[in-house]
Amino acid sequence: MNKSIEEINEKIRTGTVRVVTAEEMPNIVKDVGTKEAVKEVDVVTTGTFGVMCSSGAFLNFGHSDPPIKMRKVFLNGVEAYTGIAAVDAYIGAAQTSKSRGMEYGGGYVIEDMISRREIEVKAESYGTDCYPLRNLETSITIDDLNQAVMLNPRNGYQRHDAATNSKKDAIYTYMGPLFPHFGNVSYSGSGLLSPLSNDPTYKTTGMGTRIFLGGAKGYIIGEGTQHDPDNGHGTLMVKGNLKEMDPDFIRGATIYRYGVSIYIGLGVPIPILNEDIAKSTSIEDKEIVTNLVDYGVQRREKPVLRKVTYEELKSGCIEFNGKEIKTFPMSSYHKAREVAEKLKEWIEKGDFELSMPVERLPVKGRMKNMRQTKIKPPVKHLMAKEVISANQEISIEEAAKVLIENEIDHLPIVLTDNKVVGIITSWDISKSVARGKFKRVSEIMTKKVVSVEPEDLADVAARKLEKYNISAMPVINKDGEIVGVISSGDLSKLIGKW
Amino acid sequence: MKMKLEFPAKIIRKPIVSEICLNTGVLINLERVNIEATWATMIVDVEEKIEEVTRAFEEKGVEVEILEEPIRRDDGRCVHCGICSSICAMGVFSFGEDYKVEMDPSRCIVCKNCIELCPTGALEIY
Ligand code: SF4
Ligand code: SF4
Repeated sequence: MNKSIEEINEKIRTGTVRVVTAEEMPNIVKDVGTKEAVKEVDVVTTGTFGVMCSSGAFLNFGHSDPPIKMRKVFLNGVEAYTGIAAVDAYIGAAQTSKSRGMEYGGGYVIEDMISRREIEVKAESYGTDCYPLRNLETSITIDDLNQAVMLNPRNGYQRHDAATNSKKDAIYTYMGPLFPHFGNVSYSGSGLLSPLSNDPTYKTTGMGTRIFLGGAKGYIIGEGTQHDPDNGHGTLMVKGNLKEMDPDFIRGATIYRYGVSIYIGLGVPIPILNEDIAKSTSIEDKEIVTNLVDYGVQRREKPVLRKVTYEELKSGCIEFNGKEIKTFPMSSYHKAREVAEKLKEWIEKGDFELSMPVERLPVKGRMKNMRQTKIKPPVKHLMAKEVISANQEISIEEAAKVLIENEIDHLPIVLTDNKVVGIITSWDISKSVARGKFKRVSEIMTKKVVSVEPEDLADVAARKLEKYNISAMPVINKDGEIVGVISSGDLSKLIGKW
Repeated sequence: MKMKLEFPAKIIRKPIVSEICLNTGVLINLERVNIEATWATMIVDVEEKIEEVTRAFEEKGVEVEILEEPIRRDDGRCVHCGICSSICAMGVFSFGEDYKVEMDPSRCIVCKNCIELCPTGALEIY
């Protein structure tokens, strides 16, 4: 049996439609089979509630008197893009506040607008004959705007890698805090409730599909940026009316030491037109597989450590290398459920009809990497290879002598097999002399050594020196042996050359 | 019951906690200790004779604050993501019914690690 969207919409109008969430569908299909499921179920609702940086809103402020052509505009101190017409602007979710940094930003401005709070507007211009005003300060609410349209270039990832960290330092990423030595695993997405997991070949999802966006009706307007169907990483570009959205489903967010973003609730209804669709919407967490990726490697290509299912990720714990690692979600499953339930309620009440896409999302194609005409070399080509190091048994006087004779500031301390156990600087020596009670370097050295690997790129090394506020660090290979030293001087030689 | 103790400079070096353990016979669990040059604060957990222990500390010049629910959440902002549960070593947060993040504030030792990590700014220590 096949059904049409029109038949389903007719049922919605007459109040006889049967809607279930993607969480309920697997059991229905298990119980009655796909054939009966097509008869029984008309719509499956999906939902996700996650951090979606590639989001924002177009705003039109109306004209001031005298008029202004806004060259720069700040909303509560957050800059919106104004390289378009006079009083149009795009506020991006990931833009940080000018004065408050990561504490506030575009995502919060959008949330404040939806919550109908006053927004302070400051604009600057150069003045033209038709737009003479140069500076403007005012305060608005969303209801004062002509249009406030959420338009998100990339939402609703079909699948997202899970992240962990093999290295010895904690890192703070868009996947949250990742503790050293595989201390935890973070993941994103709602698994069996996730929109594109339920329609992986985009049979009913495409341009013109009416969806749930931020608590209001919205639309898919095409493939999202970085849409990568060949690798099962489809994405959606969506729009919706910000004025109708609900603060329950939009939340400004700060990802610690990463930046500002926004939580968005997004749900796609899937019409059960035939058995194929019934089958794809019966997917379970144990069938949804993603890669566990090592974010400790700060390169574009990150090692995949293993495959992992959403069933494992959601259980709170996965196994890796014979060890149990705790998992945590970046997205909210509780809220994803709320989205799917709300959408179900709308359809049942007749407030939401389904639409067939005028064009499906592309089912072929892959994401390209950036063409870079200049890439800075790895650390191994920049470091000083003649490493001056010392044994941990030497005295502080001897260490001081080595530093002075070689005109260096950092002295890695090694065991006989070249494995680094610490590092001392001239400052450590002065401190110990001032306190006067130490004899051997092993007593005063820093044991937690910040280091890089020979293959790490120059920028990764520069970021580390800056993060730990140091001027040089040893380069240590996979076996823990010292193979060089890299300093900010070595790195700054690159400026202008690359 | 968790307590926050503040030691003024002149009594930092005295073994006050040990003395009070001995005198009152109450076991005092040190959960967080912060000793600086001119002040010290401690978060301690005391299971019994709360009033007696409080009085004993105060007599020695220690300021005592009872932390009934040191950590608070703005439920209107919380999205139940669970990031806090990954950072809190004390097990204050856990997933409960309907995938909601539930809290047991009495376990909090005020390390404040969760405060900045909560993406929606829902958590607050007072
Ligand atoms: S991290 Fe914040 S938003 Fe997430 S569950 Fe904890 S309190 Fe709620
Ligand atoms: S302050 Fe520390 S102990 Fe208290 S809830 Fe936060 S992480 Fe847990």
